[in-house]
Amino acid sequence: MDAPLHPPVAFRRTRSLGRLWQANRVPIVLLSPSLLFYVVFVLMPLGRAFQLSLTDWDGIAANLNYVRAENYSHIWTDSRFLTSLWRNVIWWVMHVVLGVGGGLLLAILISEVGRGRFVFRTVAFFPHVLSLAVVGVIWGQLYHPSIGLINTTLERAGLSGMARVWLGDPSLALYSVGIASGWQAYGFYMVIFLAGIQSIDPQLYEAARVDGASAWRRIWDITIPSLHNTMTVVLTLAFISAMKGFGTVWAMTQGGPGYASELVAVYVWRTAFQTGAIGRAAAAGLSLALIVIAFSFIFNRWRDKVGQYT
Amino acid sequence: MVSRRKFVAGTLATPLLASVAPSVSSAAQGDQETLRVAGIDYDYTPTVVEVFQENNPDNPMDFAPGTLSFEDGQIQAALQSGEGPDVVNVNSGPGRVGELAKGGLILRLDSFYERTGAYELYIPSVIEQIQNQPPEGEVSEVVEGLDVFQFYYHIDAFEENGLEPPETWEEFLEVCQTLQDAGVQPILLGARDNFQGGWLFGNIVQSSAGRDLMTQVIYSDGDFTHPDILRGAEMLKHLVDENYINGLEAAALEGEQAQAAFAQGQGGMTVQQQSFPINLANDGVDTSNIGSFVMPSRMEGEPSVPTAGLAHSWVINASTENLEAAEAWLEWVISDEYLRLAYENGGGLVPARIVPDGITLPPSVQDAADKVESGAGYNPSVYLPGRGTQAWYAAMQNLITGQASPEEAVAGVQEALEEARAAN
Repeated sequence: MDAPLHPPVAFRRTRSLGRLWQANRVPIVLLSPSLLFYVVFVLMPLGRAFQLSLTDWDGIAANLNYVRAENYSHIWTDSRFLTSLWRNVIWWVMHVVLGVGGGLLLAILISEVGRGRFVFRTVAFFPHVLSLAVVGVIWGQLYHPSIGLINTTLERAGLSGMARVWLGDPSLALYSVGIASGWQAYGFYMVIFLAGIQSIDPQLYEAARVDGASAWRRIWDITIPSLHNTMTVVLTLAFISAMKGFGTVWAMTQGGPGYASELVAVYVWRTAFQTGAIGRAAAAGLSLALIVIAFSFIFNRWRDKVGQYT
Repeated sequence: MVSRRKFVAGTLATPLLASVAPSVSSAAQGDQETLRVAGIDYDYTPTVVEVFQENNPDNPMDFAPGTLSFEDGQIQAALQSGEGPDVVNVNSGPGRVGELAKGGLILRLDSFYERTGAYELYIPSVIEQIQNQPPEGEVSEVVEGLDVFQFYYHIDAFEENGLEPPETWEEFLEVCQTLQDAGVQPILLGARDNFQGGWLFGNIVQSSAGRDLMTQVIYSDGDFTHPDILRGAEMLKHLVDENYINGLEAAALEGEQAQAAFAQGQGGMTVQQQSFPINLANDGVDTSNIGSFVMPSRMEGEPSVPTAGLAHSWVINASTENLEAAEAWLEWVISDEYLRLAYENGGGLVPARIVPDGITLPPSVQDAADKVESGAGYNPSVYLPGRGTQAWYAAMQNLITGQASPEEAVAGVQEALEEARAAN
């Protein structure tokens, strides 16, 4: 009989490499291609990025000049970086409310539909199929200050006082782009929630109906708790997606006016390519990655803990 | 060291390699004899490429059209990869070509200029500029042409309101006020993508601070918070405060959107480059109603001049194995025939070289060329180093959207300039 694929840890430590190979050659061989890709395309670039973050490389010079942690100390005292990080938090909240909230709401509504569910699902998913550049163009036209649908509709409805320069007003630009981003994202979360809802035992709903539970009670007491694991995945994905936010912002405002809608990813891009401070951009990018990893780890541990008691 | 550069370059080069895929693939097949040229696809490019190939049947050539921008790292990555094109057309300027030369990514062309007599072919101020940028004294580029930025206006809007092109700042303000009173938005601006905002701000700073001070700022240790430059920032703010420029709308619109609105007859004035009327004419717009004037100078005794900048330049990849053919292409670029073909086929750049007899420039190009004959101010968007350019654009956007005072705006640029100088 073959050795177990996952031998006890204590036992594994005492084995020689040769015996380890003998015992695990099948999984090692099967895993090695993906491991190789992971090393070459994930770990090595990360290592290089870390190396560059310790230099003042401008993207052109032939030699690397090491500046220790200077780039890290610079960005963590740079009000522009810290402000862009704060904007990412706002962006994330908007992403959760509009993208995740919208996706959940639609998933629940569509799951209640008898006939034509496929049509509703497809239509609702459609925005997510669009590239971010197209989303930027669509919403850029909607937000156009004089001929955009939003302002012209407000004017026709007698609400011209509410018309705004949505992308040009520094106090509105980030939120305006965030709405477009949420619109683009909700379809993706909706599909995940729909899959989660479909895995809930229908007998739970039948029992609740027999007991006279209202639709709201069924959603609140059956659907939402049953989506605990799905919600964990979705919120983690939403956080990662929001922290990486770049495309919609770049397509619609390029981080402006000034720096008013600059997220960290835009800061990184501008720092790297517009100012040639590759080292500093690498430090900012890695800092963001560490924040995302740390949050995802802590959040998932917390959700696991909460899940045990629910 | 080579592996590091190639690794980073390889990562960054992906978009570029995708855009020049046909060329790269043919080169990858080991055809070292093929000259690989990459650059902007001007209206006249197909013609000059075709004629070059006819004249050089022994020099097979691939031309890969595409924008090779310094600001998004494409050109650096292409040159660092060791597999980039032999000759590349790039954005000019000390913050771009100068940096590539300093990094040893492009070849020096001093001997090419001496051998071909190109020093005598080009306008002295152009030679002076490309020699003044780092590494100082060396020449590493062949300039394709210049862009000249000035005000364009609707002649009928001026005539209907009894206006003439202004010759002083006070007259300029009067023009704005009169147009506004007549219900015409005085200045149309689309600054979301920065370019047009940079052109306008550049003209205002030139008007207020003049060329000498900006030369100090760009090439030496001049202070961007100098009172004359600060006055330029105050002038821009004044135009916004008086609603001669709708600052928030300008920040929401791309330059092309403002350009389209002007073409449709909206607004009184806009700042554009000399190719603007040519592009409008190509789109079927009647350009006989469009006039031009230079922003009046506020410097006593100084003439009013537009801002201008080297637009694009040809450089030779330092890793080329096809130097002879690459130089043959550059010899073609500096030839009279190339210039003639360019202007016969829609060329819209102001010539960087002395125009020989028998070549007729398009009217708007001739107009711009005439106006820079007595000198031109800098377009800071091109001449400031990368860190300075970003701060310059931010200053412009912050001024038009009220996010920064003039003092804060110029201080931000000065801070970035000091950082760039320290990095050098």
